[in-house]
Amino acid sequence: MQVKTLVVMPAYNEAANIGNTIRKARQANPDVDIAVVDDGSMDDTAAIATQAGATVLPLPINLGYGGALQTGFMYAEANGYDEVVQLDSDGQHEPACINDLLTALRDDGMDIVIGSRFMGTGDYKAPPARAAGMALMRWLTRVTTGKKITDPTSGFQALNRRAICLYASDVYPSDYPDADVLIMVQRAGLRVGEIPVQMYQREAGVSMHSGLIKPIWYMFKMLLSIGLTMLRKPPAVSRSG
Amino acid sequence: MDMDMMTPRQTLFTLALAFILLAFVVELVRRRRLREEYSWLWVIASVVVVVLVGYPPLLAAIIAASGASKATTTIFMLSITFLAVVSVHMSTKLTENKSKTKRLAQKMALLAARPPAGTQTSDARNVGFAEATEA
Repeated sequence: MQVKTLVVMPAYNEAANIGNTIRKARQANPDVDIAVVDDGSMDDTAAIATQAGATVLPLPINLGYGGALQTGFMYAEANGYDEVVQLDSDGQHEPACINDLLTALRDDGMDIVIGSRFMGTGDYKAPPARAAGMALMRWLTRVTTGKKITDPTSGFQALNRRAICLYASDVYPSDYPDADVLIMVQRAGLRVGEIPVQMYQREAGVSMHSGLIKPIWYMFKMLLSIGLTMLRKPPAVSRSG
Repeated sequence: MDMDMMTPRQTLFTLALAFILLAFVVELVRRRRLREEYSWLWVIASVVVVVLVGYPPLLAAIIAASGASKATTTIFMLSITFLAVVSVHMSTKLTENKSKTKRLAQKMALLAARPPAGTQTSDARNVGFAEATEA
């Protein structure tokens, strides 16, 4: 049976980057379908995505990254996709690496494969404050799950049907999924792997993690979220997927 | 034990406030401006105030138990605690509301899914819906 794969791209005002990213993704793997979740953009994001060959899921209101991403998982679940690759619309993730993620997912028997910036490939350099935040997340993921993940903050991931259904459910955080989700899924018994990928700095526009107050607030929320994840019972996951 | 109970004037004033609050809440529910499910907290609050102020021995017992020296202080403390409970209750309702709104928006996005340019959709109804939501 043919494996159905969906690339999910949440997008908010990404008209400048999204067309290229979709074209590169289709070039890298012509067999995948692409779904752009338009998170209430005010520019031409949706029209450009349609032209570039993506299915567009238009959210009537802005939900933020987590809610938009989850819409993609709901679409994948409802339409019988076996695999999902999360890909950022802003061009930070190298679309050619989609195939590496999928290969690792299929061959290594993983439920989730993370694309890591910090495993040798690429030349991603985070500003000092962000690097410190990432180091903290890395450490927390390791002490809570006992497994070393070099880039728990990465939004470049491939997931199988089991993980798709879990991400589409109410246990998925609505604001911003990060290390807390990785801790949650591993507590639920899902297997998480990691491979090196190439990532870039943004091509145009402003990152959602910019400014002074926002990153501090973000770290605070994430620490709280991880603490609560540890207090909750792990969610039940079907073995079959 | 030496305790400052409420003066008759204070008692009367507090009772009047409690009754005004009760009347206000009942009126809001009657006009359907406030749903019954959110009114019970306020109704209970006004009844508690009436009972405490109208029956001093109970108030005296609470004052003694809390270690306060004034009746008015105790009333204030109880009020603030009550308001905190109401706020948290509102936050839970807000959370519930937000989750439902999110699910609604997501379901709507799935219904309004637009296929890529150059492809024909098999479901004509979906196209109509997408156009309708955009208008």
